Amino acid sequence: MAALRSELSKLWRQRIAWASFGVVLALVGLVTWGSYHERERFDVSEELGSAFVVAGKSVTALFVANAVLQVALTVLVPLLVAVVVGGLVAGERQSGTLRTLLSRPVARWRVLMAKLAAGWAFTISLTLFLGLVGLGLGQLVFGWGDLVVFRRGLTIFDAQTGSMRLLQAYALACLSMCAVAALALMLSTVFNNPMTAAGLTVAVLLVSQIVGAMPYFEWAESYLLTAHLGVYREVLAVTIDGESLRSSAGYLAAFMVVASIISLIVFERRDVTC
Amino acid sequence: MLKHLTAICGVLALVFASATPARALTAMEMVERALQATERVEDYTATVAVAIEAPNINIARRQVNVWYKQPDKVHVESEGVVIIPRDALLLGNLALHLKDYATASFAGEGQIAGRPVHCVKLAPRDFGPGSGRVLLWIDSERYLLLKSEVWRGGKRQLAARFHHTNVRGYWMPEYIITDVAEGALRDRRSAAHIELQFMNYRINTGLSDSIFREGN
Repeated sequence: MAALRSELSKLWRQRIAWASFGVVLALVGLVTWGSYHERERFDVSEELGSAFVVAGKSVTALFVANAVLQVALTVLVPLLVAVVVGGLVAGERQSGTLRTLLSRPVARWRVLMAKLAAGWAFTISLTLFLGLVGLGLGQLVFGWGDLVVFRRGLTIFDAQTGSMRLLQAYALACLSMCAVAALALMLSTVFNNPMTAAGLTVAVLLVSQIVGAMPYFEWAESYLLTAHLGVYREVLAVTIDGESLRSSAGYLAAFMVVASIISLIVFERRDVTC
Repeated sequence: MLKHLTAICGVLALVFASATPARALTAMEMVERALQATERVEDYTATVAVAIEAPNINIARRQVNVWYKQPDKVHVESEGVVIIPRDALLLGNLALHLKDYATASFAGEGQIAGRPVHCVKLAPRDFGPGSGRVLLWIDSERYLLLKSEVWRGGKRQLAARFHHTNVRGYWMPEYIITDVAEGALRDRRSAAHIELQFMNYRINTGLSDSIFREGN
C-alpha cells in the first residue's frame, strides 16, 4: 500500500497528468459547443424520412457523454495514457530515481505492481472524468433525456436504459484503456526513454488499427488489440451481442495479464545502472 | 287512403334510400366521402400515448401532446424522442393520397372489427409493377377509414389500423396501430410496430398558425 501511495503521489505530481485532465475538459467543451451549434445535424427525422413525425430532444446530456466517449477513445485518451503510463518506469530510469527506488528493501515486483496500479488508477480516473464532464456540461446545455446513438443507423434508448448502458460503456472503456496502460507500462520497462515508450505504444495501436482495416489481414483481426478496444460499443446497441462482448472483454483481460507478466519479467531481470 | 299510401311510399322510399348499398357510390366517391368526414375536423389537440417496438429502439410507452390543423399542419411536443407515422396524425392523410393517386377502384369488401368495409385501391394512372399504390378499407356506412396500406414496388411498406370513438359528434381515431415493414424506414432494415392511443381530444377550437411554426 505504501508503494502504491508513493507511486500515486509521484504520478499526480507530474504536470502531464493534470494537463491530461485539462485536455479532456477542453475536448468535452468543444464537443458540447459543436453539438449545440450543429444540433440540427442530429435530426432523427432526417434518418427516417418525411413519412414520420419525430419529436423530442435527440441531443441530451447522455448524447454528449456518448459522443465524447466515441471521439476521445479513438486517439486522445490512448495517447494521454501512453504518455503518462509510459513514463512511469522509463521516466524514473531516465531521471535516475529508479536506482534509488530499487535500493530500498522493497521487492521489485511490488514496485512494478504499484506502478501498474497507479497507471490504472490514472487511466480509470481520466476515462470516468471524460464521462462525468460530458454528462455535466451536457446537462447544463441540453438537459436530461434519451440516449440517441447515430451509429449503423439509429438507436434510441429512454433516459433510464440509456444511463445504464452508458455506465456499462464507460466501465468497458476503462477496461480498454487499462489494456493500453498495460501495454505502455510493458514498453516503459523495456526502453529507457519515456517518449520512446509512449511513442511506441501509440505506434503499436496505429499499426494494429491499419492492419485490422486491410482485407488481406482479415483472418488476423480478432488477434489484434485494436479490434477489441471498441468493446464499449457493444452495449450501445439494443440487443447486446453477449458472445462478442465476452470475447473482447476476455481478450483485454488476458492481454493485461500477459503484458503485466512480460513487464514483470523484464523489470526483474533488467540491470538498473544509472 | 291516399294519405296512407303516400306515407307508406314515403317510408319505403326512406328505407330504400338508407338501404341503398354503398357500392352504389364509385370507389372515388367513397374515398371522397371518407375525406369529407375528416374535413369536418378543422383542428384538434390530443394527448397521445405512443408505444414503439423496433429492434433498434428501446423506449418505454410515453405520452405526447399533439396539435393538428388542416390541411396538414402537425405539431408534437414530447420530452423524449417519439416517432409517429405522419398519416396517423393527419387522420389517415386521405387528401394527400388522393392527390398522389389518380385512379380509384374497388378491390373487395368484407368486415373489420364487425364493421362492413369496402376496400378501395388508389393507384397512379400509369400503374405498373414498380409503381406505388394505396389500399383503403372504408366503413361502408360511416365512411371512416378503418385500415390503410401503402405499397411500393410490390412490397407493403406501411399498414395502419384505425379504431374510432365518437367525440362530441366527431368520429376520431382512438387507437392507431401501425406496422412498418422492413426497409420502409430510411437506412433501416428492421421492421417497426407503433401503437398510438389518443386521449383528451379538443376539436375545432380554432388553433393559431403560430403553434405550427418551426421552433415551436
